[in-house]
Formats: sequence, structure tokens, C-alpha cells
Amino acid sequence: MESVGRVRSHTDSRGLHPGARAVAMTDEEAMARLRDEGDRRAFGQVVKRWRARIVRLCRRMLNDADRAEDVTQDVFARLLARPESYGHSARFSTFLWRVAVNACLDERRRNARSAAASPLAETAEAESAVQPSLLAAAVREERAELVRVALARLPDHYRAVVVLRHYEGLKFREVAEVLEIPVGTVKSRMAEALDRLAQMLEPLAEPGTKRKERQP
Amino acid sequence: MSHPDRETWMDYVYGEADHPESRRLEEHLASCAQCAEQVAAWRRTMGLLDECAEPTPAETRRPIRLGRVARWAMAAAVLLLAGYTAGRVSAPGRAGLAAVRADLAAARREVRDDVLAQARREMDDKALATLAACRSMTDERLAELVASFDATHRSDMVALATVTERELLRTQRQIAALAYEQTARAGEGGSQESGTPTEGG
Repeated sequence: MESVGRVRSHTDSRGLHPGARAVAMTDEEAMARLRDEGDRRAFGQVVKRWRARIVRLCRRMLNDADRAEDVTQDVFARLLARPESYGHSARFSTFLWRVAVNACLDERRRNARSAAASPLAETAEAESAVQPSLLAAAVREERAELVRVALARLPDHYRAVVVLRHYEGLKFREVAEVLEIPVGTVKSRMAEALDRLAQMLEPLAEPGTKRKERQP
Repeated sequence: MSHPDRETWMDYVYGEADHPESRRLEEHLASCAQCAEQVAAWRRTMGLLDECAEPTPAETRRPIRLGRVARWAMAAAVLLLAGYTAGRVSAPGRAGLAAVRADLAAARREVRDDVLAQARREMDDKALATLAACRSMTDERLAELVASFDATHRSDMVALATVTERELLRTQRQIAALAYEQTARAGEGGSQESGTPTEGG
């Protein structure tokens, strides 16, 4: 994945806006302008660039489209209110992924009580195999839904690794930076997550279900 | 036979192993049925994960996210009530609870009008981010307000807080109902939100 997103200012050439400069701006530069000059337009470009990806991350983490939207807004709103929270000690992308993942984990903790009755519950039976009877009539979307449910049933620390590595395409090293854990731990969690998912999705696994090999 | 560890295999199945390492692992796979079976199982599971292309089905989303509207309404209500409470605290002579209720009722009407107006407008991301920022700042102001309470006013504030909380809940329920009616009307008019996020980056 790209380490630094480049955003381009959409100001016109007349220079009507005093803070508008038609220059390419990195996320880091945009955040610096927000922090130092209160340039919300620069921040708007950051939001435009990252919003869809953060929503997607939150949807996978929370398995709830509406809550994902809310958490995403909270993430950007907090950043807007406190731009100094990004200390420039890490790449902005790493920082933003971290903030979003933590926001999702907080959201899950806040809703732990209500989640007890939802598919996200991490109860003893949560990781039991999906009912084979459901699979007999499963069509493609149902299979996808079962995968979503299985993913949602993974404990948070496994799911975060799967979402960031498998779906968002971060390298293991980048996932380690985001989650602030050793890269070896990320890989072992990934392997463990795949094992648990395989157990939950065992009835879905057919000989023909094979992933195309990834090239180094 | 010594087997590569699971972490090494993760590099391999996710394409992060360099070329010499990949060749070494492939040679191992060719001669180790146990590892070959494990790697095949991981790849099957990765294939299943790929079947879930969408994080959560978009069709499960409501045409208008009432939750969001209600939260903005709450934010507005909290902001108004915080301002009101601050005024009460700093006022030299505090009125009785009846006056509190009257003022809160007025505040509630004002919030309702604001929320309805807001619901009618198309809420773009920028506006939502700004509103969310308002909520965040409101939370901060509330925290500061609570921190500044004088101990001698504590009993008064408990009474005020009780009334405020009750009124807040009433406001929330009314706003949710109004927002729902607004949504229903919008639905009858055939308007649908088209807010499915597009691919970023």
C-alpha cells in the first residue's frame, strides 16, 4: 500500500482563497496545515482521500454499516478537533489506521452488553461451527454472509489483523506498526485466525475453493 | 525433517517472502505432505475470505440513518442544555424547577426545529464532520463544566442534572419520532439515500 497519500488542492488559479495553493500535498503536510493554520480545506482533502477506506475498515470490524459510519465520523471529527494528536512521529496512514482500529475496539467495548445477543458475541459457542443445515441451501450471498459472521466472531485482536492484512492489504510489518505489536505476533495471529476461520467455515470449504497464490 | 514455522508460512502465503525464501519453501512443500496440507488449508480459508468482498451488505442500511440524526440531535440538545446549565450555575439567583422546565421546553422546541431543518438538508460529509466536531467539543465543554462545579452548589446541581437528564431523554425520543416521520415522508416521496461509500485511494 502507499505509505503517504498525496492529495491535490482543488482551488482555482485565481487564488480567491488566501490559504489555497494549487500544490500537491501529502497527508502529513495537510495535517500540518490544519494544525498550524487551521486550514480545514486541507483536512477536507484528507477526509476525501481516506473516508471510504476507513468506513470499509470499520464495517469489517463492526459488521454494522451504520455504526461504521458513526465511528468513521468520530475518527475524523476527533482529528479535526485535535489535529495535534497526530504527532508526526509515524506516517499519517499508520496513525489513521491505528486510530480507526482503536475506535472500533472502543465502540465494541461500549456496546458489549447489547452485542451479547448479536452475532458479534464472543461467547463460548460463538466459535462453534456454522450449522451445516444452513449450508445445504446456501447460495453465493449466503456463503459471503457466513464468512462475515465467522469473521465477526473472531476475537478482536485476530479480526484486526485479518482486516488490515487480508482485506486492506497492509504488509505484516505495517500491521505491526498500526497495532503496535511485534511483526512475529502479527503473523502468528494471522495463522491462528486462519485456523479458527477454517474451523468455523469447515462446511464451506470444498476442494475447489482455493485461493490464487500470491506472488512475492 | 524440520518444518518452517507458521510465521514463515504466513510470509509465503501472503506473498511477502522474497524469491530465494519462496523457492526454499516450495521445495519443502514438494517433499512434506504435512506442510503442504497446512498451506493448502490456509489458502482455502483465504479463498473463503475473498468470497466476502463487501464488508457488510449495503442493502441492510437504512435510507436515512436515524441513528446519526438522533445523535446529532442529541449533540445539539446537549449543547443547548449545557449552555443553559452553565447559565443557571453562574446566575446570582437561581429560579425554581418550574422555570427550569419551561426553559428546557423552549430549548427542546428549538432543538426540534433545528433537527428537522437539518434532516431536510442533504447532509454531506463535510457538514457531518463539522457536526461531529461540535459534538466532540460539546463533550469537552461538558467535562469542563462538571469539573468546575463548586461543592457548595452540588445539591442544586444534582436537582438540575436530574431534570436535565429527564428532559434530554424526552427530547431524544421526540426527535427520533420526528426524524422517523421525516424519513417516512421522504420515503413516500421516493427519495433514497445514495451514500454507499466509493473506493478511496
